[in-house]
Amino acid sequence: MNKRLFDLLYRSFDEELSEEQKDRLDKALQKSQKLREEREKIKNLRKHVSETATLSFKPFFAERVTHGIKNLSRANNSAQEFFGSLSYVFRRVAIGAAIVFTLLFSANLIEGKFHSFEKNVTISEMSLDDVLATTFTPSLEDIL
Amino acid sequence: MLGQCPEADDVGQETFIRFYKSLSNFRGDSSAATYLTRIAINLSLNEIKRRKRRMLFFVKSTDDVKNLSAEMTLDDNEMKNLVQRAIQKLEPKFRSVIVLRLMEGYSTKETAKILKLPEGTVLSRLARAQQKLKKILEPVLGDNYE
Repeated sequence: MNKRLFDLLYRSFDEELSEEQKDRLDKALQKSQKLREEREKIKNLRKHVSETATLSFKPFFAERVTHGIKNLSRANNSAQEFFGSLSYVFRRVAIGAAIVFTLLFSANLIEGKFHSFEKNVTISEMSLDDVLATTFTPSLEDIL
Repeated sequence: MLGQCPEADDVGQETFIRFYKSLSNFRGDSSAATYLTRIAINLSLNEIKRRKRRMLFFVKSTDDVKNLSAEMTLDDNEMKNLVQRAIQKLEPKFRSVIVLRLMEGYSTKETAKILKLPEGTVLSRLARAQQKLKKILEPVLGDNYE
């Protein structure tokens, strides 16, 4: 069978053929018994395939989808709640820290101890040597 | 796309849940049905890939679609079952056009839009898919023609 005619036959089911193509296919169909049989086979195949379509879901499908969507909303809500409370706590802590900082700053300023920023916020200037020097190194006498 | 199996039902559910999640992105350029179908097709293709990976670890079951003979007489349900199995034998790219065009009744233009393919590609895949299906089902289709 002519492959081009065969392709044209398949295409005729799914697209609008041009007048020239239609004529060519019609003439070939009139002449060829095999092409007519092929057309019937394709028609039947398409019919069987379209009948295979399942149009329904299993029972309670809608309920399961609704349940899934509710779970999704709940998960979103709990995530929002978590981040909401986190930012609430953070805000409180930040405000508290700012107040304490301001009070310390003001107190030191009033007492006239305003020498440096570190001293003002009561952070003593310590070097690495200072830190190492304060490390407790017990001697045998201390232990005994 | 996936045939009658629990995964198909899961994909169905997931389709609606994904649709709900992406409602804010839905601009209404296409109909809701087209949008839903696109989600369903993408999820089904993912599921097919997952199945293929799973199949690497399991022995394939006996293939009764290959053992068809012209002497077989089938009732409607058996026929539907066989056609369904034959469709499952197709590669996903052929299966998706068959499902959308022949089973769901979308036009070639709509099918092309859903699959994001040129119409010409849809048409050629459709023709090849039908040829493959015909080849698989030829023995039984012969006896079950109207």
